[in-house]
Amino acid sequence: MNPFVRQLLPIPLAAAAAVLAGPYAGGLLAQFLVLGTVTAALALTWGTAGILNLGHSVTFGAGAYAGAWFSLFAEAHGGAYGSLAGLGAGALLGGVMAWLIAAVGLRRRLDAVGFALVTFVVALAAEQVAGRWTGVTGGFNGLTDIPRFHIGALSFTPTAARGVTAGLAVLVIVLLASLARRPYGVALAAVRDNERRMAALGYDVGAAKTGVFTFTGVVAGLMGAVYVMQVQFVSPGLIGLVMGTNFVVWAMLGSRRTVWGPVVATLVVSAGANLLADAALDYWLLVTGAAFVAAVVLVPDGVAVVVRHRMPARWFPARRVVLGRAAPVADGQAREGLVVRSVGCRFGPFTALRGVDLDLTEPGVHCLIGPNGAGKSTLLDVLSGFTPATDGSWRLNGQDVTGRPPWELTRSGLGRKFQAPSIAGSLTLAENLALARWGRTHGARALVRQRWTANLPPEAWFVLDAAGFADRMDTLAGSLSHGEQQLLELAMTLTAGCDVLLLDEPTAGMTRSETEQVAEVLRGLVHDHGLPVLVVEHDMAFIRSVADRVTVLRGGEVMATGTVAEIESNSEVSAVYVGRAAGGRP
Amino acid sequence: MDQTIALTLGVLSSAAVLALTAVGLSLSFGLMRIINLAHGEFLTVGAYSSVVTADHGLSWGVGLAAAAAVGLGMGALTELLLIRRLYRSPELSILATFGLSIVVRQLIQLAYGKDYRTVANPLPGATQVLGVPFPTYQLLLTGFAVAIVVAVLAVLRFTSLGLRVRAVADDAALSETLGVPSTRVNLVVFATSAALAATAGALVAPLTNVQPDMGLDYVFTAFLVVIVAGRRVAPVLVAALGLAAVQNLTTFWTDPLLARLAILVLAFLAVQVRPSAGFRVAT
Repeated sequence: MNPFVRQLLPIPLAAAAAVLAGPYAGGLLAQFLVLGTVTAALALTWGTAGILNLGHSVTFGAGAYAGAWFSLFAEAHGGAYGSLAGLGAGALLGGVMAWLIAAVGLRRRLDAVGFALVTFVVALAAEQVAGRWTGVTGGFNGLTDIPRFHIGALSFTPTAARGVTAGLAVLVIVLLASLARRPYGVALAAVRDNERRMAALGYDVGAAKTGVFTFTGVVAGLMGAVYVMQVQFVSPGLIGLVMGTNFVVWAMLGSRRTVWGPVVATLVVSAGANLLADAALDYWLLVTGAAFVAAVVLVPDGVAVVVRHRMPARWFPARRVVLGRAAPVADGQAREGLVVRSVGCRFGPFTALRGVDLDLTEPGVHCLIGPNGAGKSTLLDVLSGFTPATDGSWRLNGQDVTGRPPWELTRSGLGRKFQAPSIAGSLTLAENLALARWGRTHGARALVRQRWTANLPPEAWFVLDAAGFADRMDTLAGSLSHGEQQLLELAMTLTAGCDVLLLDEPTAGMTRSETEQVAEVLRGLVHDHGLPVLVVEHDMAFIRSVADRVTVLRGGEVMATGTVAEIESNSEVSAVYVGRAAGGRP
Repeated sequence: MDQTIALTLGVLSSAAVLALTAVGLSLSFGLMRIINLAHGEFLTVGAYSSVVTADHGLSWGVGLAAAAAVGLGMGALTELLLIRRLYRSPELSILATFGLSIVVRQLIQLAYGKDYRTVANPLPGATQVLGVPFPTYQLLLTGFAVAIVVAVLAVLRFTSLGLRVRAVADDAALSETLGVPSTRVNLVVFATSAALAATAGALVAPLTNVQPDMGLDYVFTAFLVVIVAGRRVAPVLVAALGLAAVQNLTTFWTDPLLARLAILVLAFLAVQVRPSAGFRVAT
């Protein structure tokens, strides 16, 4: 049996039980399945994309109110399609609210913790609005007697309505699980692991996070509307912090990195709370809270992940990623390279860069050297869009790209490798490379449709073959040595493809033979592909073996530019490095 | 004129309560980068401490001291058992305090029930301020709150303990190499933060209904103050004053619900405008 199907099998079984069991037990089961769906949606934003949302209840509750209000309104005015209108309104309102929250938080570069706090505060506010806006929400008493799901004159029996509820829940859970497995979900996980790398590969990280947050808002809103049509009652409790707390607790206990874990945890915890009802309920909540704290401290990955490690490994085969060889990119197009003019960068009173001019228009390796603090990495950060410039401009392939965000610069043809190896450690080598291949060309929809095959260009294969990665493609990138991670990141940068390449200390932490491989790769890129390459380096032996030109940076300004020989005979430059006063006097 | 004075006094006393509830939060967040979602429950525990001491016929001052002591102990225990293990991940520390808040709320509910309790006002009656009568206890509370916030700031700025605390906040590893025991400093900061919350709870108890989820009401505005003030403790007073002014005046002219939303919007605007707000990713 397909492992994907096997993992999700309990969920349609629970749905069938919800239909077959009597109205009371079945109704509860259907209700819990819907809550499980909403928890699974939280697992997608939080576990996969890494956005902690303490106010997931806000979109769920908003959808519930919208569903209730439209159903009641249609019933009062003799409309026959109140249920459908309610479901549509729930999904829409959930999406709009999620988008607004994301627009305030994520777009403005709040960090994960700050954003979590924003969602917490929004949940607190939402409960108060729902409790006091009596005209629309019915105040603290809520809205009651909401009609069951129906379409037109076609009225459903309670059993059939339960079937609709449970069926929708199963559909949404399967959809979420499938999204998480596709390149779309894996790209989100890579954003969670390493946001800078993904931006440098051409992914619009801000849009990706806003997108997934809005999407799960739509799901939660839709399921909120489904929920009220099942329970026929809505109150401020559904939108407030306690509900938000529940979703987080269920996702955490189940394991936010999976889809089925949170669903199962929701079913188990809700059923427990219901069985114990009145007297013991307080103890049950206490135990749940204590279990949650214990899970945070002891099994932060959740119970499902622990259970999964105890099951036979063959039940969870590794994803098969097919990496092919792409034809060499046809050359001969006129590239104009990168032209940098009087770029400056200040941090408050500190001037990191001033009036830097640089021409990377000819094929060749251009080395950037200078003492620590000269501004080498800052220059690369500015040119690749990670640090805003305060002065100057730069043109890429004849186009003014000053101040563009990193992903746009990558899509315009700029390649960037960071100083510290920068990869998605929780993904395999093959997954990292496949994501590198799609960064410049794929948006969210293309990533959802994309199959797990990617053709890599010859220069990437050259690095991969030299590093001996070809038969280790299914190992986790995080388990590679420092030097190997450097090589993998170089291969990823080359996979993305570029017209100008910026490398920050590509040989740091490498063995002598790895360093020689990098030198050979660089010479090949220049010779076969006509690429201009800018390399920040300290290793003079490496520089002598690859550099066509050298620029010396000191105190944020260009001190000298020339061939290796010219720079080595420049007395000012040796004064900076060796410490003699300029002019050779003692 | 009288109305203006009354409104001003109202704003000042609300701002004082706000600053009082927010200053502890700001300590743990600003100095330790720990967002303590159980801060509201520490406040509730302080309020219940004063209820319990009053039940035993002890005076209001004893209740205040008891609240501070209970808060200090709870904070220290929380730091030792939870926070200390989770420094590496701010997300996990948020979740742990989130879970802790559920546990504390349930424990209080099991011990004292869901019904609200009250604490007798130690200073009933009103005092004439510029010809306007104003509740005496609220005047005292305002003075207390300002004194506490100023004292915290003074300790941070002028004592050697404050210097060590600021050094650990800046760079814990570097401070260790200079001989500052960063774990012990963090323990002191977190316990103080909890004690401040509990003291605030005991101070507001005579003005409100003491119930298991009372902390949530206060913590909402306290978090807004911290969001506006960012990672520094000093702006807490200014942020509290600004939010209290908007909230009180909006309540006066429209209704409490709109006032809550108004300060929410104000806090978000502050985050959008201030380029140096404490939450931004430092890239």
